[in-house]
Amino acid sequence: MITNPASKIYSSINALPEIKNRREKTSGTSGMMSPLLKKTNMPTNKNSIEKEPAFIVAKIQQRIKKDRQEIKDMKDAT
Amino acid sequence: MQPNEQSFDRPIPGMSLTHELGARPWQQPADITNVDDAAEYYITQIADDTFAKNLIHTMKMGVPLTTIANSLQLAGVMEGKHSVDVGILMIPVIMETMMLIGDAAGVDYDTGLADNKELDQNVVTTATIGKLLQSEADNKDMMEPVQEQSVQEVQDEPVIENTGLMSRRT
Repeated sequence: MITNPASKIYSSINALPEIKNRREKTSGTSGMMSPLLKKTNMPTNKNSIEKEPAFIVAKIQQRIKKDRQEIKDMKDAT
Repeated sequence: MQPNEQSFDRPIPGMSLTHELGARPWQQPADITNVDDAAEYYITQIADDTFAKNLIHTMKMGVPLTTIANSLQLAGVMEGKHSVDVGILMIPVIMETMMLIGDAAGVDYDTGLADNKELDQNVVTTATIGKLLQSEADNKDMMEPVQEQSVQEVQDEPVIENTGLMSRRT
């Protein structure tokens, strides 16, 4: 039997909370010691989730959804 | 389809062996291997004027978006554009893009998600918690008689009298 998983997959991705863009950490230090105090952007395990395909898909979906909502709002306003 | 209904919509045994291995597009390495490129491919394809016009027409006919999205990604797999897993992951992106086109055109479309209303997260959570509590209560009921029985067995154990030659007399 051919099944259509579309509705379940869409509902699962759509139910995810909003993914916000992470702000780059800035040390804000200056002077001779600044190179030592500067936080390096070393790859961490926390960043690895952002490379997951499902995470990328959720991000793209949320971006399109946002655009769609804006179009909807504009239409409602006019 | 009814559960007892016979389905003839399935591959014939040996159907996959009617061609040389690698002769079909889906048996070749996929053109697109990551979701970023796949999303770009589908968004570009859907945003095309001709496609969008046909899509709006299809939406007006009442075809659910889930069906269109699934057909699109399946066609991509069959053409060897991407693998099955990338195709499955593309479904939300395809659906959302189609909804955007539908909203922009002011079409009243069917998402095909109506059946999933029952699977509301709160309902699922409540059901899961209820089930857990029930199983915990069942476990308690099962445990209590076993404990009582074991205590009773210890109490009823017959006292064996020492009858040997070397046994200590009391």
